[in-house]
Amino acid sequence: MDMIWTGIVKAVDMLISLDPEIYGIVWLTLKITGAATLIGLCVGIPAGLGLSVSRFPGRRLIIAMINTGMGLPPVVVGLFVALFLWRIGPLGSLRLIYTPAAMVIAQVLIVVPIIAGLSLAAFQNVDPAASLQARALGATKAQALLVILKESRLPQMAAVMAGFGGAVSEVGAVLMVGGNINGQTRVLTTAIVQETRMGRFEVAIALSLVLLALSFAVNALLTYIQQKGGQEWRPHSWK
Amino acid sequence: METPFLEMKGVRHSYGPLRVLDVPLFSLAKGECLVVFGPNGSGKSTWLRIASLLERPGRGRVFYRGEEVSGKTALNVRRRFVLLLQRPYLFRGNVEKNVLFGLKVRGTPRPEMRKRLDRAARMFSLGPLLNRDARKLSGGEAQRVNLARAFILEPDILFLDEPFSALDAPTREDLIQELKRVLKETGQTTVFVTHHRDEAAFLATRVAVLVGGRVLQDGETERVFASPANDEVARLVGHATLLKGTVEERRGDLLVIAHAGLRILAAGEAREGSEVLLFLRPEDVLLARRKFESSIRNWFEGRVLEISPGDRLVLVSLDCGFLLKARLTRAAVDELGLRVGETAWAGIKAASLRALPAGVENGD
Repeated sequence: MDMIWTGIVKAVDMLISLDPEIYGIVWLTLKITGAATLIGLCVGIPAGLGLSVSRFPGRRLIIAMINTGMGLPPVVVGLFVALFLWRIGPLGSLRLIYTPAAMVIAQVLIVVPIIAGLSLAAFQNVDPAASLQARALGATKAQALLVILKESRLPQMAAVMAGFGGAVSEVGAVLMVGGNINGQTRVLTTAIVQETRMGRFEVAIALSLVLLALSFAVNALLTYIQQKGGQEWRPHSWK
Repeated sequence: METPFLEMKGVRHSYGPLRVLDVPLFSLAKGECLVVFGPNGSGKSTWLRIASLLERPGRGRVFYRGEEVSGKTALNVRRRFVLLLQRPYLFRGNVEKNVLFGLKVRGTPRPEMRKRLDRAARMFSLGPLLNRDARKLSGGEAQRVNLARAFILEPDILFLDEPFSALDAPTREDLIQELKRVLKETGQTTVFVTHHRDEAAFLATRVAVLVGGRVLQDGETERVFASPANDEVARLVGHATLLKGTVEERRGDLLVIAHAGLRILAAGEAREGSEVLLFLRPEDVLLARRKFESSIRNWFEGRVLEISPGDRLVLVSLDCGFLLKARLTRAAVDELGLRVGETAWAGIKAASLRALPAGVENGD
């Protein structure tokens, strides 16, 4: 019990004193996960939009694959990315294994199905009248798509944040393709694993607090967005 | 004759094996206010989407000002039309953004947008609403915003799909009056889908009856109401009596209307000397053997032309100098002992005769 308590005290101390090692890891985490989320957004939202408005053979299969992909085990993604980027693998000549780029690739593969799946659901929730009315007022097809995007922007943001949340808390894939190299590919989750193994609990706790705070911030924002609009009117109760 | 604004030739449309529309020939002239009548599933929404070029017909051709619409010209022609859906779908954002939507997608310059916004806002008294959240409006307000965002585009043809069906009665009345006024001011060519007889009588210069994807009757409003082409149309338009007359005098809140040598007292607002349309539901006509003392203002003596049995009620046609239709119960007809060829008195309260300004194009 004592160990946990001193751990927490030391951790808070390290956070307050802006310990460079910790902030280096936090910064790298934000960069990698941020890049992966951004790429995931650029791929996932158009994919969701395309799937919501088009009908073609194989569409259902793709949607089923995306839904499966939303729960893809990160270690499996890590394994396949590692196999491809391995020095003698098909993409080995790119020399990406154990670099932040490899970690971004792995996280993109985790994030894209999450964003595409949630964004598809968000688009499908938009009243079909929105696009029809837009065109009936003179919008081109592209302008009508933009209307659908705007009408669903809150759930779209939720999709993006769910993607970010999935990536930032994931450990398997980044460990396998990044290698957890100090100062180069060490991120919050892999660092927590490492520090715990080495018995440096106060560092592990400090990093966990940051990760928790990040996760909490993302989820709090997500909840706020999802609940917004639903609370304008509340019935008066007799009690 | 002037080239019609809009023409459809041999238009057929199916959803899978289901034929929903079959219109061999249809045309719309500038300045017309056409009402399309039809029960649910009669194909009127499909008709509207095809006429407003939102959907391409499976077969057939659509012409705009005599020129066939093709894939290349469709967007440009479509932008001369506006279709408003049954339930106003307002976009996220404030009222001003919604009203300006159509101009924005057309890339209209800003000063022009402001000018037209002012005019549209005045037209539908939107001033105090412009900054309000479009999703927090009442039904009537939302419909006014809806109409404003159509009129701001000054479309060649305005298509309205049962625009007032979701509103409560007083709001509906107000909005119809408002629309009528604006239609008159702007001379807007309009196609209006509704199943309310009074809306049609009030707004239309022409009525087309659509059932099962086919136009069963198409003609002047009064003609369609007075002589439905067949039973199906009659069931739909409901045997109302429509009379055109001239306001001779105003007596308090009553109008004295002259029609074919008869004087008819009716409720309503109209200037002396103006042409009005009287709209009378057959349920509101009382039949008697002789006149009796009552609050009834109008008594007409007439000869029974026809007694046609319906499901539960009987429709009696009388020649009172005009064709009058009355709907009674079977029992009432039996008790009165009415027979074809005999005379009877028809009593009509002034309050159940609604006088409406006649046709949009020849308004005051």
